Amino acid sequence: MNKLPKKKTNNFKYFLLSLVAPVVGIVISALLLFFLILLIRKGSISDTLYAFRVMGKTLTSTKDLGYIIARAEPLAISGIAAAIAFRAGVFNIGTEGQYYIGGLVASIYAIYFSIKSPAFHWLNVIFVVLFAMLGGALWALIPAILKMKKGVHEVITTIMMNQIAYTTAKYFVNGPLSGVKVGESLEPKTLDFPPSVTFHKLYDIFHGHFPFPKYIPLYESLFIAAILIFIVYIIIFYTNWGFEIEMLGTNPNAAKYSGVPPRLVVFNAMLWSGAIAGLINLQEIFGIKGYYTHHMTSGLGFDGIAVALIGYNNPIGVVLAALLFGFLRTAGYNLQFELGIPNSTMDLITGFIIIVMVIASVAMNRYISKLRRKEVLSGAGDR
Amino acid sequence: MPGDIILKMENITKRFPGVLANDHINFDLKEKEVHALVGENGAGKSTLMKILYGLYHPDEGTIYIKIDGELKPVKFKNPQDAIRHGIGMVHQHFMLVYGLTTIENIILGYEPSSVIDFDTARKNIEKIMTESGLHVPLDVDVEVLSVGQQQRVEILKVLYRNAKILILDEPTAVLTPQETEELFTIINRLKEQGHSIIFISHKLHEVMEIADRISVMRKGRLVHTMPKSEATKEKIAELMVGHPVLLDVPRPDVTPGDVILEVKDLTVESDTKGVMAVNNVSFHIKAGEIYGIAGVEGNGQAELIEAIYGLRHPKKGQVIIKGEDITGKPTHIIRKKGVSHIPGDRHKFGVFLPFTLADNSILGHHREEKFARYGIFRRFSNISKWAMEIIKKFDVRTPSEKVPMSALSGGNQQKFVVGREISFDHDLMIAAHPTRGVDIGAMEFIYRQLFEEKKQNKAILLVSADLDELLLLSDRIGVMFKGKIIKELDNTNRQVTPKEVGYYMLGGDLESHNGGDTVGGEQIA
Repeated sequence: MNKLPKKKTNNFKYFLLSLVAPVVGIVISALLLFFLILLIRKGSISDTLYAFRVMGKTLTSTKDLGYIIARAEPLAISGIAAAIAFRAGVFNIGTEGQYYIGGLVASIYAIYFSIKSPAFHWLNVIFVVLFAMLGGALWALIPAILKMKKGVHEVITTIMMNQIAYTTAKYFVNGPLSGVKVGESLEPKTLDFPPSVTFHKLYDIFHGHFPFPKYIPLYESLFIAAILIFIVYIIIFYTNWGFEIEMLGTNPNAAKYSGVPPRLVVFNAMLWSGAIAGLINLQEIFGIKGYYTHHMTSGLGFDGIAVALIGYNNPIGVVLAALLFGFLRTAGYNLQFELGIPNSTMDLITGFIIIVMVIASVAMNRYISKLRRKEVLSGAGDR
Repeated sequence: MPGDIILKMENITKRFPGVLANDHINFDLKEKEVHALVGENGAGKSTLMKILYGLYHPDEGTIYIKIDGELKPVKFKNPQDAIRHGIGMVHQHFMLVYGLTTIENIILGYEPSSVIDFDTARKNIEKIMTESGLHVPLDVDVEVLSVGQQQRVEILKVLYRNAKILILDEPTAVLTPQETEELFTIINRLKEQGHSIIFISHKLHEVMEIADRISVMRKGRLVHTMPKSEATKEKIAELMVGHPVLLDVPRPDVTPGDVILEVKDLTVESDTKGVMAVNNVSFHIKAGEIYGIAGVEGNGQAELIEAIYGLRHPKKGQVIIKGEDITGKPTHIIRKKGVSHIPGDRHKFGVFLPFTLADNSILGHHREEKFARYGIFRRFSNISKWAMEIIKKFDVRTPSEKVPMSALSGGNQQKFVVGREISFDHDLMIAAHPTRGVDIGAMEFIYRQLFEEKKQNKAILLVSADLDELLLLSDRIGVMFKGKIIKELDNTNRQVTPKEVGYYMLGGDLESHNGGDTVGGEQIA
């Protein structure tokens, strides 16, 4: 009966097998990239090899590593938000709008209600987080209610809510919250946030003991992301909340049979997905800019869906996928700078990775379940 | 009388990864013969038939078909090839297109010309119908036909494609006893007209009734072929499982105790608004009693269970468990009050296939302190221990509790579900089709477990489409027809006959006894 160690190695084997698909996706995409660059550089092998060296250097320079992390941060949060909904079998396409509104609500707090004394900075940060989550959840509330009460499909409602979110943000920035003074820049924006609210640079917090240069946009929001990912990880894998979400995403009928109220769990998953989505762009709003504007980085919500997909809806996978995206973007900028290779080449590669990975993972899953069955059948006599 | 051999399968071998599905099988079929193929699930019957029908290709072996008076080897690339050689298959799950009429379904994929010539088709089909005795209305949507009629359409489809050899895969699984008899009449008639039939079934008494020869398969091998004259039910069962099975599991003698479940005037709306799936149903079950519900599927059994189990809100009436009214309470509360439920459709309701056995072992009770601290933080070691207990106690064949449910065979999955539901504290067990899709070995095991439940003074509500099972297990049987229990039969001494139940399953003497008042949802007096 001493088969505990065997069991462990077996599960480890299946874990390794599940990594095959992303690796295959990346390797095949790297090949494609090789030929693309070859094409762009008119067949010059030496240029192409140089391009790959540039990409390699991206991984070794501290400056680039800093940028990779900074770019991965909002994508990781966005990926987590999407993953929570996906796990419950809900397609929250509305993370895009939810972060616009989350940021807006947090900004209203920052401008009008925040504590002005720098001693209460951390309290302000906590309130910013709470209000951003509130805003995101609020934006997910309407699709969630419609889904729960009337069964309206969330893809349609959340997409529409995205459009409304953008115009709402635009209205607030140009109207009630407008902070543009005569004679200043024409960029529509709100008033600047008080210094007691804006996020500090990690470089300053660590008094220069930080490995990355001062100009790298890494702020306290990185802590927020880390804590969030940790909490979500615990919830997904160690609590009944995560278990019930997973039940619902896997088999709603069996979930019902198990006494899990399906509508309620979907409703909650949707709200929490929205709440987390509210946090996506705090880095830019409260760190880089220090004011709110609807002219901020857009598309983070949609990128997050891709991140969740590549990361298998697993928080750790999501972090790795976000770092991969961060790397591809940073490397893309370097390639453009050094060789004039268009930045969008990297977007193309990102899309290609997803497609190859999805195909590979379908094949791998089939292979894995075959292997599992075989193992059970052959091991059946042991007991 | 059976004539010459018209089909021969020689040394057919088919391997799947890790499984030898067919091991050098020799099988033949004579002209005008019904050759029954029996065996447990996973014995290799379906694989063999799929090879014959061109869906699988054998690794070894040859198929011979009589062409122009002599047996010639053939190779089927696909079912079209098989059909061209006169082989037709009636699948267990009908392959009909709802929304199309009967005639359209029959000619679909085999239209007489590119511009459909319905007149010629109709003439051909009508000729087949008069010859075979298979009468079905041709111009109605197949969806409105009864299950028995839909099956006839399936057989007509095969005959329309000029099949000489008919493969019937578990054709009686969905039929009432009366419909089964009609099917047998048709089979005999087809036989007389020169057709040969391969009849796959679980039900031994049917095999004994209809077959000329019987082949038994076990674990990928064809263990024995015999003429009916040499066969007995016991002998077939023994060959199927390899050891004699006491299908007649002795019933424990238990004096019924207090009333555990009481259902009063329960009325439940079906998915179609305004139609009552369950209509004023009342009954009670005492401790140590098995109450069977018989009925053709779709007469309200599923909705009745869902209402008791809290998955559906009753429109009217009460469900009382141990004196406590639980009508309309949510499922997890009802489970806590001591209700266990073996769901009818295991894959749809009973398990999460990608989850591990451990995760599957606590469904419905996962919030209990034993499995989760404060009802939230899951206690994995307790869950694993619990799963291991079920696995050991109910002989589930698996290397560990950490494998996904999907890796187990159907019988083992069902054993696990039954074991799980028995293991939780309960007073009422709702068992819906507890042996559906499992082999005789597992079936007997489950019967014994249910009797063990009875001995433990549990009240058991048994819903089953298998009459033999109901008659074997139940103390009382309520027959449901159009949402009502139209007859309650006392079966304490197993005195009820299948015929009797079948009579009421089709509505029985409603007209004469009740004056035809309250049938169905629409005409309540």
